[in-house]
Amino acid sequence: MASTLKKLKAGIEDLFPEVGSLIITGETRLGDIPDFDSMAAVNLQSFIEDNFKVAIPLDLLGEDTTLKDIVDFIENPAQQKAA
Amino acid sequence: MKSTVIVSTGRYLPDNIIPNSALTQFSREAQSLIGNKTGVLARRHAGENQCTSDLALEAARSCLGKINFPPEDIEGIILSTSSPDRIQPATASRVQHLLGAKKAFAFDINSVCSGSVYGLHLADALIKTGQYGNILFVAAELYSKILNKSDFGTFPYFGDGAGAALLQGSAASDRGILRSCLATDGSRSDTICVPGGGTMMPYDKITHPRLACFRMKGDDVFAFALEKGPAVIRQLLAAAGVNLEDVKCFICHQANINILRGIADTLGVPLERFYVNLDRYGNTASASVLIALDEALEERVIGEGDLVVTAAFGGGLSWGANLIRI
Repeated sequence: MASTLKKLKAGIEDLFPEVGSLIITGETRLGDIPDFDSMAAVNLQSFIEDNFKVAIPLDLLGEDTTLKDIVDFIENPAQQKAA
Repeated sequence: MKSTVIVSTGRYLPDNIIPNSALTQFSREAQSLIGNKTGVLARRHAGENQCTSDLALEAARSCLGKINFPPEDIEGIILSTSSPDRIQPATASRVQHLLGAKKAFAFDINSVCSGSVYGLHLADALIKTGQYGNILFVAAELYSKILNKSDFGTFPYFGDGAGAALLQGSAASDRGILRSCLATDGSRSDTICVPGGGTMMPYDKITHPRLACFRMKGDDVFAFALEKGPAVIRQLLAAAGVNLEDVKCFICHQANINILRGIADTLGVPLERFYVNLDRYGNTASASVLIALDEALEERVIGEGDLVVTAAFGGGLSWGANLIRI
């Protein structure tokens, strides 16, 4: 979990340089990230697929999704899809 | 006062057709969103060895070739681009040389996607000084080389292409460019930009490659276009004493079908009176209006005597419109 979160956090900081002073944790919502919108969700989707080899649907990358939600999906994609 | 008539038009779209399904850096789910969000189904990309002046040259040749106009008789070349060959010199200078337009002055203008309407007004104004008999106005854009290929917010929506119009002074007062309106809101200059590579952020200060790429705040641009598009068209027609019903065709900047639909709805004009080709070419920035104008003429959507409104909105933020009797 910790390493996945660390890698995800680094990716978000790279994708969203405007994140600035926001402290990103597992509880951070995507909607809290400056300039996060439906287009940015696709960029995040591409990052997750390229770096974790996991295909995450866009409807799981909404504003209320937390980074922990994403980490859980990355680490257990089959379980998350069944849920 | 002399009028400025458009005596010929031309266009060039690169051969390389890129459908949405070819954008494999995005998921299939995302690819299907492109058409829904913007109406873009495909775009053209220039070849690896093509630069903006190459596209401009082909459009210019297409324009001049239609009426066998000798390049050596061109008196001035204005080129609109926001994706130049280089920061300097003007991209127009290479076009002037390759075209063989030895008598012509040549310079660039940059009002991003509004460049077409700005350029038409500028060419019109220069001809009406009485000093120049003709001006070749070209708009050429090669955004595929300034976009971040991984950015879904920009990459899928833009295409490469060029359009051209040869404008000539005429004694007839009822044809040509009848009126233009231009406007700018510089307080929003960060909304659409390429941050790096100029004096504000020289190359050695670029800390991330994406800073050398085009960016825009999509939602803000959408709202801006929906606000200013109808407003400038109404302003233009009011100034010219023309009614909406008198306009045969609206040729607007081809940014997004939902923007065109919104403008049409606000004006109370059927979308069918708006020329649309963004499904095939994407957003070709300042080239879009001239490409669409050439196609509309070729397809006989518009013809001699018809009133046409060209309108565009883009970086600056800038916007404008021209009223033209073909």
